[in-house]
Amino acid sequence: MKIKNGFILRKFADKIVAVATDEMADYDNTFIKMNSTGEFVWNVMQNDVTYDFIIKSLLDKYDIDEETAKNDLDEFLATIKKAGLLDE
Amino acid sequence: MPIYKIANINIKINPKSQYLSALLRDYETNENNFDFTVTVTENDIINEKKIAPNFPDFLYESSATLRNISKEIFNNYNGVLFHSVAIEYSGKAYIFTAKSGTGKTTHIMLWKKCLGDNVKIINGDKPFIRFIEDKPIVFGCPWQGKENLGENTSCELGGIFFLQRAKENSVEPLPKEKSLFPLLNACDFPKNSMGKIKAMDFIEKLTKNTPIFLLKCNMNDDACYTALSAIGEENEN
Amino acid sequence: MKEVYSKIEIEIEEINNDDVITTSTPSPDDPIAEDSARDNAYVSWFDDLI
Repeated sequence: MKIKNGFILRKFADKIVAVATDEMADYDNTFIKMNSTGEFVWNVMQNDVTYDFIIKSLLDKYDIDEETAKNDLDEFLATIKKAGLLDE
Repeated sequence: MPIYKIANINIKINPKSQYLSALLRDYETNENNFDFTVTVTENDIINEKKIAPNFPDFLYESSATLRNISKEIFNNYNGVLFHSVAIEYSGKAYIFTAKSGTGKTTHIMLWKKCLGDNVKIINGDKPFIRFIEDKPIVFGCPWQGKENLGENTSCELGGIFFLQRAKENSVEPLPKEKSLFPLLNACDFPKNSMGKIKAMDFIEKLTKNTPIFLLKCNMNDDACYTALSAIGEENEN
Repeated sequence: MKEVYSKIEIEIEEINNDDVITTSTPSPDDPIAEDSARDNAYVSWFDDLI
């Protein structure tokens, strides 16, 4: 699974915001605001990766248990999917 | 062709309708130099009609003129047209922004009622905000909304209030990152990637040194004093 | 050494600012063309609140 490519990331305050490049016609109005953890997952998912790979990446980088990683990732994926940004 | 000074920029405009002429009158300048020209074309009028059908033609000339000016100021003059109510109080400008119908105008009329001539309304619908020598300056402009509130004046920005209707009055600081989406919704900017990034950078610069508050309020006089208490505390810090 | 974790946050917003230009457009009945109309409009609003 991956997140659609074609977004630019820009810092805003303590967050990161993704906006579509001009090739992405359906996303003219879309602004995606993330914290640094969200940005990490976003970047990992710019490539086609498995769910397990994302979980492993989170566990490698952060001081966190697997259950929390899975719960939080599931929420993130649901939001991305709802916006039509998930390529499965 | 007359020249008008709007947001401290000299703009050559040739209003065709009496409506637009009268609207711009307070902003006409005697100066001969101009920074850019606005010409409303047939295509501009057709475009405005598509956006808001069934209005009389003179209103389309007005909105097309504003659209051109807003675009030029955003692209080249470090500024943004900002849907909000702006007032001046105690030497600083305060912006009130909220979804349409929340009661921005009602709220600032409370300020007028409680503080009288100590409050000046800069613009009741869409002031310009421009960075001049790195300071955010709020400018009145000819487009003052249905109620026609405002004047040809300007003042440095002192704070931004987000209004929400509530039973009880309260005010609290709003984290900068929470202000991004509401502020973007209130700004006029183009939806290409450069425009979006430029708008975000503008808002980041704007909110960097400007206090931002969430004001939950009803329509009682106390709503004004609640907002004032936030400013008072800021001034003490 | 692993980093401190903060819960993944993501918020997606469709920014709808198309009406910033056209908001609060006066109707044809508003006496905008008259100079004195500006003052009248302001005063009547204020009076309503006193």
